[in-house]
Amino acid sequence: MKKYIAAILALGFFAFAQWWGLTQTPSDAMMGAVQKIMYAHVPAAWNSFIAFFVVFVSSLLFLIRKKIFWDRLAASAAEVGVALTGLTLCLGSIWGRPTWGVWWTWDARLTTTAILFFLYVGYLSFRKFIEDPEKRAKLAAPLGVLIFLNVPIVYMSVRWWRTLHQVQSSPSTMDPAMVLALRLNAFAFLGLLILFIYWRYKIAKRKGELEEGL
Amino acid sequence: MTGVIKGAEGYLIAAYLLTWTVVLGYGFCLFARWRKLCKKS
Amino acid sequence: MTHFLRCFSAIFYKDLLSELRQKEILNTVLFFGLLIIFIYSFALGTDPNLLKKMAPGLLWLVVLFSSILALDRSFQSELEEGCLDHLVLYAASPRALFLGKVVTNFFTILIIQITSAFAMMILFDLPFPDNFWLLAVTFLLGNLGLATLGTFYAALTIKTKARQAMLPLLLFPMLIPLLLASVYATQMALEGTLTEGSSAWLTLLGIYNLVFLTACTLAIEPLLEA
Repeated sequence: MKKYIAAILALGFFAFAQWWGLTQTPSDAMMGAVQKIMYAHVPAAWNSFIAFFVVFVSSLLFLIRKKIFWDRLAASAAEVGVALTGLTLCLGSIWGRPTWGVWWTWDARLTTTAILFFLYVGYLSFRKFIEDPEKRAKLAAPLGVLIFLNVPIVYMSVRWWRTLHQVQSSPSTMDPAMVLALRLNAFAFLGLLILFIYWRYKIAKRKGELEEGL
Repeated sequence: MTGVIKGAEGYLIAAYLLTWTVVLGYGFCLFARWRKLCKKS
Repeated sequence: MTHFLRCFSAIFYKDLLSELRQKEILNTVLFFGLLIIFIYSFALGTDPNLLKKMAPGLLWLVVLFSSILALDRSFQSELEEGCLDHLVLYAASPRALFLGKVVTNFFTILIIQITSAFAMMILFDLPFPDNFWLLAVTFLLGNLGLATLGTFYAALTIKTKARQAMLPLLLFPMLIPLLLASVYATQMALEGTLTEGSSAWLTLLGIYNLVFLTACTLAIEPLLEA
């Protein structure tokens, strides 16, 4: 029981935050109830960016320190980040259908997120094709750094290409109750992110130890 | 966009169901992988 | 420093020579490009206005697909008989090795691009570009970025099992900003109407090249030693 206390806490807080977002906030004047998808969509997007930033930093640190720990951390964060990005894209699609009338639009942030998804799926499948753990770490680290450097450039280029996303949902244009719910959910997702990365890291470590033992 | 969007609760339910499926499903996947590794050693 | 330059020029000379001696490879790649341009007409129909409108995008797609074939070769030939390991051991720095290969690939891609552009002008009945210098700068900058990242990713994927599938899978998403900028700058050069917007795209291409040329040159050392 003691082993799962972190998991129970994170999931419990997540459930609480989601419940709060669904029931304790006013409906949006324009979008009505659908707007409440925001409390899952936006925090998932934010936290996937945090995960990818972790991939970048740990890849960089691997290049400097050459410790296998950083490689495993990068792999774990990339996997969790891909899961969250996939969720963000699906939620955005579900949100876009009733509000814009289409499942998909080529707007800047949506397209950037989709490109990120492709980049990190590529990173993960690249790792799968190298057996030797040391070689895998050495080859994956430069990739993790390069991908992240590309993110701002992708965003700029896609924004010049076209833009029709709604005005950035910044806290100043929203009801205070909405801001609170959004923040609660952001922290709830952050808790899950840390928990998942930690579990995934433990799996990677265990796997590495088993490989060495053989 | 004209007026309040009505009758879109289905989308909201779908979105939250999806979120929970992903979170619980991914968590369970990790757990299962961990158990499998534990058995191996 | 002189050692670095000598190393760099030696690699460049060697690769260029082997590229020119094995004419079949370059010819095959060029012919492949020609074939794709031909096939576009079957897939899209022969409406000249439609083809003219889509020409910039189609041109860069041809270059992308053909250059993948050429890029894939640039390290594969080294892998035979363990040449790559010897090169890394002998060369003054892996950076010189990398930059030499980038320059070779740059010229290869440039040849592909110019040939494809000519073929398209004839087959799609395109007029001579209104803004020739803009087109030239776009080609040079776009090809430099393509060569830089392409060579780096070729070096990366050469060490995996599924090399031929991995290279486009990893490279194409990275090239999306380059593709966007090049296509729109090319379109402006061909039409000659919207020249103001082109400087923004050229700046983007410049930043892209600067960032990745620096990052790839810095990161190549641990990669080649792996």
